[in-house]
Amino acid sequence: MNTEQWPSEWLRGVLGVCVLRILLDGPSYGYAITQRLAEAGLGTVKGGTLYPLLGRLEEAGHVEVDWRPGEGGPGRKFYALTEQGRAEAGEQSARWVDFTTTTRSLTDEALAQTTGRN
Amino acid sequence: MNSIAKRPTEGDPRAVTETHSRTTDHLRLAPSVEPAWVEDFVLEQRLLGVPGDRIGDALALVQSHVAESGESVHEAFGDPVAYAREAASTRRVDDDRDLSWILGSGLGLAGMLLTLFGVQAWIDGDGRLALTVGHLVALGLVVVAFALLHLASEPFLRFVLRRPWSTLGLFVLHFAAMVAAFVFLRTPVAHVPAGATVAVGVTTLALGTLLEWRSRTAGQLEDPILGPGEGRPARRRLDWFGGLTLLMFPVLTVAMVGFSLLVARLS
Repeated sequence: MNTEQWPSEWLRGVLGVCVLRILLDGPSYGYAITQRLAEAGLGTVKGGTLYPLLGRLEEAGHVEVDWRPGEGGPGRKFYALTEQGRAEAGEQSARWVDFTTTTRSLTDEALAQTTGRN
Repeated sequence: MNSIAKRPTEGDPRAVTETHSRTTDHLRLAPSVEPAWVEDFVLEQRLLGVPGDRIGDALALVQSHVAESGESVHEAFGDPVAYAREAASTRRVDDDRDLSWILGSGLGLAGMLLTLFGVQAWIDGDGRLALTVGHLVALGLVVVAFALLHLASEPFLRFVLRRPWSTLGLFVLHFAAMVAAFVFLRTPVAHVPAGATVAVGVTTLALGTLLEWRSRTAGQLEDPILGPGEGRPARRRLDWFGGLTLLMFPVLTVAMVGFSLLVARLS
C-alpha cells in the first residue's frame, strides 16, 4: 500500500502517540519529526498539522521547548519529553496497542470473510 | 531602518538569545516566507489577541520549517488565517485588557463633550447649560460606540477590515444621528451652571489624559512581536505622533472651543 495515502482522519488519531514515541528517543525539532514519521511509513505530515499538536503537548506539560541554533540556517525549536510526557507516551502506547488489537480482530474477520467468498 | 535578526552561530547557543535593537518589523522573523502570508497570519493572531511573543515564536517556527524543508509556506502550513486560528487555539489567550487606557480615553471623550457643552452655554449668554434630550441621546450614542469599540473590539475590527465602506457609512450615519439629536431634540430636562460644567469637563479631560499618559508610559499598549529569546526593546521616547494621539482630546477640545468662539464673534 502506498503510505502517502493513509486517510487523514486515521493520521489525526494516531499522530499524537507517534510523536510521543519519536520523542522517547530524545529531543527533536519539527522538521526532523516529520522526517521520522515519513521514514516510519506514515507519509508526509505537514507543518500545519504537526506544530499545533506540539503546541498542545507543550501546553499539557508533556514536552519542554528550547530554541537552539541551526546549522548555518535558522534556529530550531527542540521538543523534549518531560517526566510527565514519558509517562504519557507509555500510557498512550499501551492504549493504542489495545485499540489496534480490538480493531485488528474485527478487520481480520472481515478479511477472512471477504477472502473466503472469493 | 529595520535590522535583520541576527542568525545564531553554530556552537554558540547563547547567540539565539541575543536581543535586537529594533523589533518593530515582524517580517524579519520569517524572511523566507511570502510577506502576504506573514501579514495575514499576524493580523489574524492579533485579532485573536495572541500575545506578541507567541506570534513571534510561531513565525520563527514557520521560517525554520520552510527553510529546512524547502516547501512553500502554503504547501507546509496551508491557509494563513486557518493556521493562525489552529495555532492560537492550542493555548487560551489571556485577555489582559488595558483598563487605564480604556478609562482614560472614556474620560477624555466625556471631558471634551462636557467642556464643549459648557463653553457653548457660556457663549449663548445666560450662564446656564440647558441639558436637553438631544444632549442625552448624543451622549448615549457616544457611549454605545465607545462600548462597541472596546468591549467587542475583535468582531468590530473584523467588520472594519472586511467592509471598510460600510464602516465609513455607519460612521457618517452615527455622526449624523448625533447632530440630528442636538438640532431636533431641544426639550430641556435640567439646567446646570455653565461654569461648573466647564470646570468638571476640564478636570475630567485632564484626568483622562493623565490616565492615558500613564498607560502609554507604562508600556501597556505595546506588545511587540518578539522572536525566540528576544528581549523587549528599550522603551522609546514618545515621538510627536505618539504625543499628538495622547493629546487628541485636549487638542480637539481647544480646536472646537476656538471654532465656537470664532463663530460667535462672526455672527
